[in-house]
Amino acid sequence: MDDSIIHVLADQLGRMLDDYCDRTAIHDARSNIFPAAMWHEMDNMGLLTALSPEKQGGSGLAIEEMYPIFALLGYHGVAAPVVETMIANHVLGIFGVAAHSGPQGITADTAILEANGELSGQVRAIGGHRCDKLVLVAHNGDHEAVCIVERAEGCPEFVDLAGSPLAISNQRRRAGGRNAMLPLLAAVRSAQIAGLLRRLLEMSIGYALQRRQFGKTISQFQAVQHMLARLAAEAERSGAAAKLGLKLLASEPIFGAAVAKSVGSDAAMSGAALAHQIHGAIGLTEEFDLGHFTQLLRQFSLDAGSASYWTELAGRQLIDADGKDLWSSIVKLAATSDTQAA
Amino acid sequence: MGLEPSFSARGEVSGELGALRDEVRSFLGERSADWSTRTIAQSWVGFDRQFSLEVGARGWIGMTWPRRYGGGERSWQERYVVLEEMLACGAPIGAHSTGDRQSGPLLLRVGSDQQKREFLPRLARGEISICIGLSEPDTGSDLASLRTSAVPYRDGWKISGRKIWTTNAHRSEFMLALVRTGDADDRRTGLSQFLIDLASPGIEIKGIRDLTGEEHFNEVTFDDAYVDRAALVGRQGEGWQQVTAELAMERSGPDRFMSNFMLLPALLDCLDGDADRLAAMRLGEAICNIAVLRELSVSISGDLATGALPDVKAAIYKELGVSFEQRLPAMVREAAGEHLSPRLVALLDDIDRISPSFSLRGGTREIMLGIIARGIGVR
Repeated sequence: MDDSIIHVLADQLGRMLDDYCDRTAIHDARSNIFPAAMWHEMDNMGLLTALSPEKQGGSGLAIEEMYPIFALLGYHGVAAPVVETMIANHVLGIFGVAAHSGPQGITADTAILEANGELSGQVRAIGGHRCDKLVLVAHNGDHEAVCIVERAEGCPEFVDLAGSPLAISNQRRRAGGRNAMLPLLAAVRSAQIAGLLRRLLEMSIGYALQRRQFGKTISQFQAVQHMLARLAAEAERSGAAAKLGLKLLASEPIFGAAVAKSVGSDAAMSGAALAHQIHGAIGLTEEFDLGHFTQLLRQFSLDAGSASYWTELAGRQLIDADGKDLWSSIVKLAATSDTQAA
Repeated sequence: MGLEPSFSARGEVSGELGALRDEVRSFLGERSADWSTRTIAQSWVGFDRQFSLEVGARGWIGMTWPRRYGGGERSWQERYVVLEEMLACGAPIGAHSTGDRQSGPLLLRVGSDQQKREFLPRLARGEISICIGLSEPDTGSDLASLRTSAVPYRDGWKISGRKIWTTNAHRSEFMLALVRTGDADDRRTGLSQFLIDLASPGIEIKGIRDLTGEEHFNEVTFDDAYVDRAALVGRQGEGWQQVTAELAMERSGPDRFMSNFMLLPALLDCLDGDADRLAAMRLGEAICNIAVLRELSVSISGDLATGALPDVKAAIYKELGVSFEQRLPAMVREAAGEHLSPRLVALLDDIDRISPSFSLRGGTREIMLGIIARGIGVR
């Protein structure tokens, strides 16, 4: 993969987000107002279909290489379903369905495709409240298909799928017992978390250097310096976890998602708590932006499986593995990622 | 706005090193059968000269050093593989790991040609050990306050003062000591490093019994101990800068998150398919953290190989690494519940006696956080 394409895209996106993501945008996001102009720009730069194969109208970029893009979206606190739409288009492409540039929600939950061609089950829609379509992978036992549920008015967080109007792709044999969107979204969320934590660190450093108490800036107190240092460490480890997780998606999707999302979710929760502690009461006010970013962090830590969901899954695989050679399993993760990078 | 993490890999430890890895595993497989849980718990502080001689004979010490100084001119990735394989089975590498990790590289950087020719080949063969003389009775974290002094005498120096908490000094042939050669008011420019033969007259070494019931720490007293002019390492008055660089090497290796890795295979042996959710979670949490910490450590090793000295990154990595390894015994207890084996219980007991040192040795947690705070511009 030519990563210079991604760097060009990241530069372009970064400049655009610098312009759009101001106080008003954050206020709009909190009021559930859809950022139509920003969405239009993202569509124009090909971001929304970047992960869709060229045959289906996309750019065919590899999700493994997209860390800079996802981190930027996190850093700027973008709440619109951008990564959800990118992942939806990626999965639609896998099933040979054309990309769609409107806002799409997805779900990481399991949906059942009944014999009568209808869906059943309740799922948690991610990015659903502003979407016009909900894209999900449903199965009927041996086979699975991607389904596009029409939702012109958006959908609630928890959706009952029974009776939904939908379009169904061709079916294919079901690989593994898990919704393919789950590990993808888990790894992508962790990259957004890393970007958000970088933002929290900048905000917290800025605030600590400016706020004065006891006759000096609070950055001069060792207790505050140590909280900032721990926040910096959380930002660094979430970034490394996200990059490793994305890199492993193709070869070891479960471990890749587990590494990214378990470490990312932990870092998100402790980073949010540190940033609020450093900011004090002002961080809780509506007029101050901090709450927007920490709210996204807390939401992202839950989306596509909490830390404990993924650590349990990774742990079970190790317990059930033949030979139980733990160290070799770790080396294999690293060795696999090397092969991918080569 | 660039959002690349500071730890983007500069190089990787590739799967192509499988043959070397297999060779190291087969060597370790034969030797590890006799190791007690205490030996394994001590891991890279454990001192076993015979073992180090065997490792040296295979060319696995100073692997990246120039051939003319006894090295193997191999890649940093090859060295990393050998080191992590040793740590993964708790091998007693303390007799050579300090030389391999920091003293050797320091001599390569700032040592005289004579020092390189004299010491590096012997380090690489595993014949000699160099202990690190930094702390003093009144000098712990505040390293620049140290008082042990070297004053010019005849054709060399006379050293007086006391070093303490010096790991394995009683088993080492040499000490690399940071001492004062200038004005005491001149906290950072008045320090110099000396490589001191511990068999010299005027040096007394006393062991300090620790929680394991053994002696690893020592107090080393210098009473006008004479050293030759050639014992000065690097430049007079630049000891502070040299030690800062040396500490970045000390804080960067996989030893900072793998000190007690052997708890995990011992735990896994106690678990079966009926393991409960908590057990699976804790095991998975450990593996996920290890995978990420390994990425950080590999990234810094790549930086060091280019000659960079990433002291802030090293502090971030060390703080994350030792926090993990210090939490690991509690995680293993939670995971095991009542599923215990004699080996797991013995290993936990031996490790509990050492684990408080994880966030002290190589610089305390508070010092690491201070370095990070300076790195992000608030100190």
